[in-house]
Amino acid sequence: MFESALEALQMILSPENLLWLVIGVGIGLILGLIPGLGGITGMAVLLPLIVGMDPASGIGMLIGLNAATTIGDTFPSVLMGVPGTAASQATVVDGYPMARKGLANVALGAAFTSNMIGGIIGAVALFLVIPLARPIIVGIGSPQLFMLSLLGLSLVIVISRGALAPALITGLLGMLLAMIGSANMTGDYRFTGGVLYLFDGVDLAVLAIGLFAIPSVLSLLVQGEAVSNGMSYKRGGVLRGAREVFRHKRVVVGNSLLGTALGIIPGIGGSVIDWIAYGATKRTVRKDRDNFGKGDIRGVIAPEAANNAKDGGVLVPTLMFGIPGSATAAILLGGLATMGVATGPTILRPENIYLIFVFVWTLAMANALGAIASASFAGPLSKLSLLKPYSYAPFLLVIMVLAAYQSGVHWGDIVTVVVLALLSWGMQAIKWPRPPLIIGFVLGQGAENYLWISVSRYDWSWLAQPATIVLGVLVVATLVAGFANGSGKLTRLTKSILTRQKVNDA
Amino acid sequence: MPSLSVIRVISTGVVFLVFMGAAVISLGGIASPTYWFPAFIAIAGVLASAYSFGRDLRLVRAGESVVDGEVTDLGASVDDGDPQDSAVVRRRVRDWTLWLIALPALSLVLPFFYASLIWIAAVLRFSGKRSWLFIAISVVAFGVVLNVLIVLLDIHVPPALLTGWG
Repeated sequence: MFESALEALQMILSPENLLWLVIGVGIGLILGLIPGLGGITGMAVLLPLIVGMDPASGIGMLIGLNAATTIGDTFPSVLMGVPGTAASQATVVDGYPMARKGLANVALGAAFTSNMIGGIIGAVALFLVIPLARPIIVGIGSPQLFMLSLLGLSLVIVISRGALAPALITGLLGMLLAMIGSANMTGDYRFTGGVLYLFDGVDLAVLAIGLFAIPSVLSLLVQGEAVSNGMSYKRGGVLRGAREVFRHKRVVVGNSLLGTALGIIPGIGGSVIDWIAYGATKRTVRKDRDNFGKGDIRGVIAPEAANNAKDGGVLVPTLMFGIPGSATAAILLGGLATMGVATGPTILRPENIYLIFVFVWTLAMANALGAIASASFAGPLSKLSLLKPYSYAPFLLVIMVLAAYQSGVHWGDIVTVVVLALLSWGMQAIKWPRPPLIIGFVLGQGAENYLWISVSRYDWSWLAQPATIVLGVLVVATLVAGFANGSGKLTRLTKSILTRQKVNDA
Repeated sequence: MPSLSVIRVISTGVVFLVFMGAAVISLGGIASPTYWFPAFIAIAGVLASAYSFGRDLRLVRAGESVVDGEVTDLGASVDDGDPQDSAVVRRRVRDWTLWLIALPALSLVLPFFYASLIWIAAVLRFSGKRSWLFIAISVVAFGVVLNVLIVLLDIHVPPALLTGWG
């Protein structure tokens, strides 16, 4: 085992392989920087290039690109309030308010350090979990996946501030949007109104760009002012952010492990994992919980750590069973097949074990390289928050519309993204929370499929399975606690009991 | 111009009707599993929006605002920063709504690449009041970068639907 690890490290450190890794990381950082273009675009472009390539070089380039995209996407999320990719939405919630306070470089420093730690923990977990993965993956059936989807949806309540009804409405609207198009279990079309474009349903990328990216840029243009008037820390801000991560060890390590665990479960993508990490952190921290959403650094650390850690988790089902855990993993799987790399249980054979180490080392190095490169650019790039929006925002709008067009290469994508952007801008004005909409959209379709498979396979007996009951109790507890906290009833009730007790004592 | 609170009440009413329509369709086809889950979502949506509509309407009729509280949201908002004259903000919102619609509208006639460059030049000149020199340099530089991205990343560019150019 130790020899295989050294052999893999030696392979990765060869100048040729290292060069491809650096190229992959470089492309990934650029793709992450451009809102709307994610790792899938890059992977799809690189796929033809890796034909006939040495596996270690190809793996280095693809994994490097994928890991670096989730690092580079932090720049627009923090500096402009525009999610670089769908997986960095939750980072905006606290990252952008930090930038408005002149703490952009601190937020970026914290984000990149969390990315690196999360990525490395994910890589180590990949190595440790592979031998144990079979019982975990086999043990998680459609009933548990359905309950996990419900648990994710219950986070709508946890992350919400203010009145809960609008959050519920937008969450349900997101689920209804996900129902448009073909029903997976029957193949029937629903809610399409006979419009051909809607037969394939609404694309997540189009929804994310329309819902968050374009309205944020439009708002910046309407304000006409720079995101921030000045930097609180002209020097050392990035390092200060890095130090903050080590002050919140539990948040970074806990969310890295959470991200890895969620990554192992096929179908839960980065666009939800960041919200789950954010919601779970907000729910579990004891101190200053109300600061979340106002520029709390823990709200940056949690989703960023989980997002990069999930890459290690996603590779577990991808390598071990040939089941792609996400869309990018599906393209990666295609790339591995192109290079003649066998996936599935054969990867655990002694002669192939070095390949797992190639993935582990590559993932760890790509995250470290990407984070260090980003941190070195964080200082100068954070000055973007001091620029007037006319210097960059109109250009971003063009790129976003073009990025939306890539999802279906259909004019309907452009019409949809513009309509969604205007509706979303209106939602923001009337104080309807938009994050629940995307959570409902992503988890709604999965929940329906898992429910359908569970009922078809087990009838309703799956409701009595112990794992289902445990997850069900968690869902109910989350909802009850969320409602009680949200309406302030719990606090008022506690206060009134304490006051009554004091009066009685007196 | 109605207040944002009134607009919110009207929007909630519209969403209620959307959920109601989805519920009618779903319950009409409930025999097929295609509509089981949508029926559940639609009915839950009808209940949530009806409750929200009633609550907001009661508050608005009592003269209270329903859009002053804090909500979890992300990204920039027109309310960020120093308070501005609401009439100015409304005018800018209207202008930028039209600018956003203008980009795809122009792309219907011209290939997207050229339409986007003309659109940027128009935005910078008429809305941003930038100098022609700044506009020329920005548009040329952006055109080069966009072209490199299109070629390197094999990005698809929408054709002009009305003229067939591009």
